Amino acid sequence: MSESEGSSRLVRLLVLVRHLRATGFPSLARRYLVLNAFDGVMASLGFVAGYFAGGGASAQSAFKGVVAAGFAMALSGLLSGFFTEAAEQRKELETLERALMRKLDGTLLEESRLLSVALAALVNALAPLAGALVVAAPLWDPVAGALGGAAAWASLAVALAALFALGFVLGGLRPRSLAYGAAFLASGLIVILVGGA
Amino acid sequence: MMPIAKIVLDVLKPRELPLTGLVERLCQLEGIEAVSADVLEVDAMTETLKLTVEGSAVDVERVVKELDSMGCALRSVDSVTARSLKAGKR
Repeated sequence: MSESEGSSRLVRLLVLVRHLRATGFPSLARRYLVLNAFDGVMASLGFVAGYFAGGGASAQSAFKGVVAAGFAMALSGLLSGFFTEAAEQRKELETLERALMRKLDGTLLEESRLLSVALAALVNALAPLAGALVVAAPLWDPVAGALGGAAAWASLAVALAALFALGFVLGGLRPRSLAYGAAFLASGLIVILVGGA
Repeated sequence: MMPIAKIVLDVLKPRELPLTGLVERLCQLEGIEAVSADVLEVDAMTETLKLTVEGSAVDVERVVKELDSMGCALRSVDSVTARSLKAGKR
């Protein structure tokens, strides 16, 4: 590849990234990240609370359950994110095609949308999995062995801390962040109360 | 073939495509020394541009191909300036 070709590709990549920003992808990804991580933590929190309140005593079983649920949510997120975004982006591209009175297949605009679909699906998949893994971490054999009987409590505490952190980030790290964090934390406490009853 | 020194195009650009990115990309092409874009009209989804491309030897086909690959629609070629090879030799 010649120097001018390399630099030309770099500029195209920069235009692609700028286009992704111009079409609001970062805020979409942030929303997907927080919403799906929230789902992952909440579902796992409910599972852990219900498992131990229901008489379950094996941290290893709870760990496997949470991880399996995390993978299920990841797969679900990947497929739902991909198909939803693909349909939405296709619709937007068709509207733009009508405005420009030309097809946009193979253009940077289509490329950018394909990238946006792939990244959105990836975020949609990885966020709930990460949420579930955070809750599952204290139940993992080596950690649970060190924590002993406190592993279940540690898992619940980590989940509540993760919920608070997600709310805090969603609030944009401004004064309202504390209120968002508190709201997310309260929703976690409700899940523990309901799941543990 | 006479080298094209300047060409003025009427281009319909999607608004979501950053103007700076489009100009920078065209400037990367061989034989081009300056590109300027003036927005003539703004619509809900599109912008009409007067695009002026200047250089030692502007490859018009390459410019049009590049605009196409960025999702722009070329509406017309409004002005072309060619440079005589003889003039350079004198």
